[in-house]
Amino acid sequence: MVMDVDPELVRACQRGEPGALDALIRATYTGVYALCRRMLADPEEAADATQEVYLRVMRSVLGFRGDAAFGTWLHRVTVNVCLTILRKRSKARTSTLPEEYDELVADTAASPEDRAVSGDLAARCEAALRLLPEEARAVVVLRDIEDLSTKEVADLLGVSENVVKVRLCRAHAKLRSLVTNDAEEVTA
Amino acid sequence: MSATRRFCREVQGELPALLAGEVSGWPERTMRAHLRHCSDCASELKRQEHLAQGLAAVRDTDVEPPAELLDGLLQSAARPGLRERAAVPARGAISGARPGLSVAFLTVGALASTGVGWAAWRGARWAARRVSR
Repeated sequence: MVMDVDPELVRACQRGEPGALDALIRATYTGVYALCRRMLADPEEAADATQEVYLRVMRSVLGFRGDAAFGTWLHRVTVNVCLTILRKRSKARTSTLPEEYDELVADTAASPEDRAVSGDLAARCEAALRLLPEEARAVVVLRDIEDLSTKEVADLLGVSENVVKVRLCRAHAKLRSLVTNDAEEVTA
Repeated sequence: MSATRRFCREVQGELPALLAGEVSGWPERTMRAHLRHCSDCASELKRQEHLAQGLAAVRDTDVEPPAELLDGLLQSAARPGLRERAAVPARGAISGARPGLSVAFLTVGALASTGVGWAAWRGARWAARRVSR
């Protein structure tokens, strides 16, 4: 997910130049929202999380030393905000009701024609992702969609690399069963 | 569980890493050799590739933020006083530290350990006096 911006824009924000912060927000908010949406699987919570991310950014941009790229830092802040929200959630969404899944697939793609042409697999994967338990979804989003390495995911989640591998393996099995509607695999 | 079956499970657990190019050297060669001979693991690899293709397509799909989100963010940015707050890095950001909190913890820790040390010293003196009587 591209969240990087011109380092000069970040320095302008740090100097408090008028309009710089607005430009920074405009340049990055879609990426931040997309990550929140995928991690949290809830549009409203994703919008709230995006607000929280920028509150943290505004509070700490003065202290940003530029040791890492701004995009990397913003990505990390976003993931941490989402993980905090996920930890607070008590409800576990493990349901794999076919009706719910079909509704989600229909909701994800614009129209049946669009789905048939290009987005069918993506729409099914996206819908299946929303039905994964939070822990599993976080691993898949970070590893497979955000393209982080196993070690980076392990560091972010505070678990070992082996735990990440096991969670990913189980999450993939569940995803495949949802995407292919293979009932046997769900129970396996 | 037989050794072969256990090995298949290990290979299948490493398939995402293999597809991501994280496995190299002899582990990669061992896995590839196994995949040539084991039909179960080979079909698992195919399924994994299909899923990876789907997830890559998800990555390329745009997620449209709600229309009012940007306005809300810009309003928050314009709120006076926010930027004037101390430039304390957010918790979980790369620097991670909160200097004020760290100083408070250190002070409390120092006071507590001084107290414990003083109590131990008094206790030892009292015990020594009792023994010498």
